[in-house]
Amino acid sequence: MVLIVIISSFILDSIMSNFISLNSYFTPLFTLMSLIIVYPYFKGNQLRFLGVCFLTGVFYDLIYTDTIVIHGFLFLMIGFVITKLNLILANNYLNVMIMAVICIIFYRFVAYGLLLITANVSFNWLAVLKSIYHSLIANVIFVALVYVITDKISLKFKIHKSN
Amino acid sequence: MYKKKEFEKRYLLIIVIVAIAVLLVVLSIALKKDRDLNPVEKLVKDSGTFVINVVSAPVNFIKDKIREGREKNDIYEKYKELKSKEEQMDSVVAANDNLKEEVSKLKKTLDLNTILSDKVYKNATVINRNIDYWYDEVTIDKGKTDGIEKNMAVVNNDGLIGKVSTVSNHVSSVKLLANENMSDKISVKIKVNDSYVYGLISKYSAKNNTYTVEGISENVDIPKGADVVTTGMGDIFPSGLLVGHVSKVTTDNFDLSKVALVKASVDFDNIDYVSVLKRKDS
Repeated sequence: MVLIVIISSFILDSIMSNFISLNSYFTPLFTLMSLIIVYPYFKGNQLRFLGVCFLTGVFYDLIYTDTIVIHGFLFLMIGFVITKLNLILANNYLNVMIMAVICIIFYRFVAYGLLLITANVSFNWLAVLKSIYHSLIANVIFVALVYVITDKISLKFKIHKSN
Repeated sequence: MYKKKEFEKRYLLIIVIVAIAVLLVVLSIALKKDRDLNPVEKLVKDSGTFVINVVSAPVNFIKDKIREGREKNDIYEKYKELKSKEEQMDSVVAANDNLKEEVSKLKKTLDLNTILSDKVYKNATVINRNIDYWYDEVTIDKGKTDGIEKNMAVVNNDGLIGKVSTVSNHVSSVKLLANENMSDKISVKIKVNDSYVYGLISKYSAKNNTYTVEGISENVDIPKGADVVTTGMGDIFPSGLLVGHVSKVTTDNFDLSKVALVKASVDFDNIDYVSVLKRKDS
């Protein structure tokens, strides 16, 4: 289940980006969102989950951004945030959407901060805000949809996940 | 016991600081703009893009069919437009041949091997796009094995779209000009009557699909709709590539030079097929 969700989100990221415009409010971050969905399938094995987050980030870098480890570290940090959020919030439909919003905001701020420190972008807070609200709609809808689908599949095929 | 704890804390702090410093160094190397992909990266990128390309083939097929359908709707309008252009075609071809001959004679006279506008084309298809704000890039299906090299200019039917940023064996990434975080300034010239005025593209606004061209001489009146093309200065872009058309002219904050807003000739939301240009070797 974990592999299917991550790989299909990874590919969907690419397909979706070919369809949407530059100024779109539907910027996809599906790979990132898939990490929120797959967390319960690790049944509390945080170290394994963080490892998968890091590997996903590294592949994201290699295929999409041509950088080496930046998304590896970013996804690792997001993974850490997801584990902490799952301690506070129960894993249900609504909370998954809240986690998605928090993760998008965290991801955008940290990514911008890293690029700023390494002098790859010039300072512009409006750009960060824009990148955040341009990613919220599509990704929150995506995470909600995938949650429902994976929940139904895991019930049908008796795939256990932690709550 | 207390001293030992203090000692360990101090060590931990040093380790954390060193780790952060190492991380920042690694990141700055990873994000270096002129970095070449290593063989492992090339292998993963080539195979990953191939898989994505195969999986997304049905979606791309449907997308192409939808576009074809839309184009068929406008086919009569296009036919009329082409018909009117066809009448002018013979004279344009004749003028072009004449100019080519003149250029070749001048090159011989001046003993020039190449001129700024000399270029060779390599066509490619866009297979993937990273629209993330910081990385606005597209991936094309041609790489090192097809003769693509870093920093080659990339155009489509409407004009200049960007330059090749990284090259793998079978695919390459193209950094688009539609990047609001543009750090490289591009030298352009604006056609005013029969002469040109020079300027530099400094910014891009995705909202209006416009570039800001700065450093234009204060004494020139620039008409609205004037063509903006590359100058060929610098190592990357050959001369004469259409960038856009002037939509508004203002002056800078100090009233020392003019600033032109240039509507991009390219629709960056609709890039499917591109040509990679290479300056002709001397």
